[in-house]
Amino acid sequence: MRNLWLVTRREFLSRIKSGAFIFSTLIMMIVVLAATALPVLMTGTSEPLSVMVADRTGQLFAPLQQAVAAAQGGREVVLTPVEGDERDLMAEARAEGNVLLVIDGAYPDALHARLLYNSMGDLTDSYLVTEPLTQLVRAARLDRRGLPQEVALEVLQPLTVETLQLRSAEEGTEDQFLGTLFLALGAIMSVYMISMMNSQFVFQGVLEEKVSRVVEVMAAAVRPSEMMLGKILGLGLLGIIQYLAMMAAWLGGSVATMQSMGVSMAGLTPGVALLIAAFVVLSYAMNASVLAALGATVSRMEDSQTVVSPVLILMMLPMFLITPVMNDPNGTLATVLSFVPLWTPIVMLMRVMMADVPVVQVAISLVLLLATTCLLWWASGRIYRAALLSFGTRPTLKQLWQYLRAG
Amino acid sequence: MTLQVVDVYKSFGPVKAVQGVSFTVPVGRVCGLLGSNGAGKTTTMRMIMRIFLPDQGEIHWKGRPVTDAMRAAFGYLPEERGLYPKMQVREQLIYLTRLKGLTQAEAARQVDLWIERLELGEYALRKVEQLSKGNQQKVQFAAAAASRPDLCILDEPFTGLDPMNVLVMERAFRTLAAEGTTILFSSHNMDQVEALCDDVVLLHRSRVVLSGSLREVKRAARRQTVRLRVDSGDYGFLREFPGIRTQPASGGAIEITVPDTLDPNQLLARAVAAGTVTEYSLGEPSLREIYIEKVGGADA
Repeated sequence: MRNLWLVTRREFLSRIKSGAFIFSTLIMMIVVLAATALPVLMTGTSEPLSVMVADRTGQLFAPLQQAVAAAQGGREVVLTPVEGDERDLMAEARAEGNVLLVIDGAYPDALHARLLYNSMGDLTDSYLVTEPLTQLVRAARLDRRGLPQEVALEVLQPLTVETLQLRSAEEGTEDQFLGTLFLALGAIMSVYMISMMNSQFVFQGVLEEKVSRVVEVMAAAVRPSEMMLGKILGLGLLGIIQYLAMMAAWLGGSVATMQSMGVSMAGLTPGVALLIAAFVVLSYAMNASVLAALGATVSRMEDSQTVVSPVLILMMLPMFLITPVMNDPNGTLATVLSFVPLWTPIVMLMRVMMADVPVVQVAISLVLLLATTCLLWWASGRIYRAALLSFGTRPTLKQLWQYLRAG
Repeated sequence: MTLQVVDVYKSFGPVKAVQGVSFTVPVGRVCGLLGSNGAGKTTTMRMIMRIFLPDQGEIHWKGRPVTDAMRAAFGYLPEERGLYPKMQVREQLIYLTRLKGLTQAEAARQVDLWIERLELGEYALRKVEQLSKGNQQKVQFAAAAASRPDLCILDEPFTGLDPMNVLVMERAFRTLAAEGTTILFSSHNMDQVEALCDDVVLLHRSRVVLSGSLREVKRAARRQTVRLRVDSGDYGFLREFPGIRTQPASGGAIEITVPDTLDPNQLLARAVAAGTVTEYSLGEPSLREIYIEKVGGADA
């Protein structure tokens, strides 16, 4: 136990003290924060939407200004009438950072409008001008055909359809779907990043020990099981720190975004948080043991990618299937994938967060995952022990089988 | 109170690395494990360290089978040198020494002592990857010695060192032995083995072909070496002595291997009759001669 503690401590300290670890963690935090807070960053601009209106019909600017003011919601809109050559206007709009709306043609039946913008934010908010304009033109067309404009405007009022997820409706809460989706994506990203990234650290650590030949010195002092477990625990602890840092960034970004969108975070119940933790731990334990064993079978850096790539692709597979799983969380594909232990942590988590999944299914998937993790630990321990001091042989399936029998 | 290797076998697939190897190293002695490449030395050492387990046979230390826990009392310098390249020398030595059961304070004290003995002071705070190969090897030796082991297994500890570092390492080696550590070490340098060892074990083709104390081994060779120089340069009289072997030596002398059935004084008397004897010395065969004879004989 003492040596297990010493190995764990060394693995933990040697990486946490490195500049590369601190730097990569900070970068990851910034990326996660930026990604989750993106909607706020995109919508949060306080600058008014400044629109230069070149109304060649001479009839629309005033009613448009009134309609825009009446429909005002969200970002402030400032309309300014302009005249002149379109090229000059475009240059001016570009220099000033304004939107240019050019309206020409025969009003109202053959009207033509062009909106020229500078940024994504302006394009997103352009509906604040284009929708009132559309309403006005339609009302004018109806007026020409005998329907008074006031009546036409009333008729053309858009219909608001309220959408509510059944679960939220039944529980009498606000719609939690968007919040749940956001949480689910964050949860599976964290399971994926922790289990995949830190498992790869384990692989690299074992490989480095083999390449530098320090493995023989270690094997003369420490049992292979202590070496493997110490490495997995040390890097696992490191993963937890990285995880907490990322969760802080993710929660910070998510809270800001959800508040700005008026979305509830009620989906993050204690039960779901516990399930996320269980999947993170089991997923890391399973992947790390497999990659530790594979690391022990490789003795040259050149062979590492050949060995690890197929396994990583297998592990990553559910990330490519998120959309079909999200669209139908209780469909055949999602249900079957959620019982495959390698993919359970991501697919079952997604299902549980996005739909009502029978408790028995969750329990069975957890038991299967736990049993598979135990089996892989046993097999990986044997392969690790047998392969640790084997140099020069290229790892093949046949070779793995021999290690498994010899370990 | 010895290291006992008893009828040990080890195979790797079709390769029989060690076959029925048995030998004993008494406590406090220095034993040289000799043999050509592939003779089974490294595999034997790895089995003593329990890096590999024997397919058959037993290894005992102080009367008890060697266990994982017992290895805390063993130091080890492997044939394939290996240290964590990114770790500082002193930090790494303390870590490896603590794995052998020493406290932080005691490990630090021992490590500092061996850093001084091996003249590594200026490199103590450098990363291992910044050191020359020779200095890395000295660090590896310190890793084996700093835990105050009862038994130290050193697999070719002097290979690849420059002459100055060989001197430093030999001095450290003698210090380790003088402190009472039992040492089993392998080397291809017979003069070095002869200078450092009390006992030798010679492996050839996975089996022991010779073992015992250096004195016993030389005595068991049952022959002596005569170095003779006659000023006339005519050594034709040697043909009168069947069973001897001759080879030219420096300065016009001749080296004669004399079987134990022949009294070397008879050779001297005949040489005096043949001319003026300007040089005569009588010695035991060197370890190199014994090695070549044994290995050559086993091959034949």
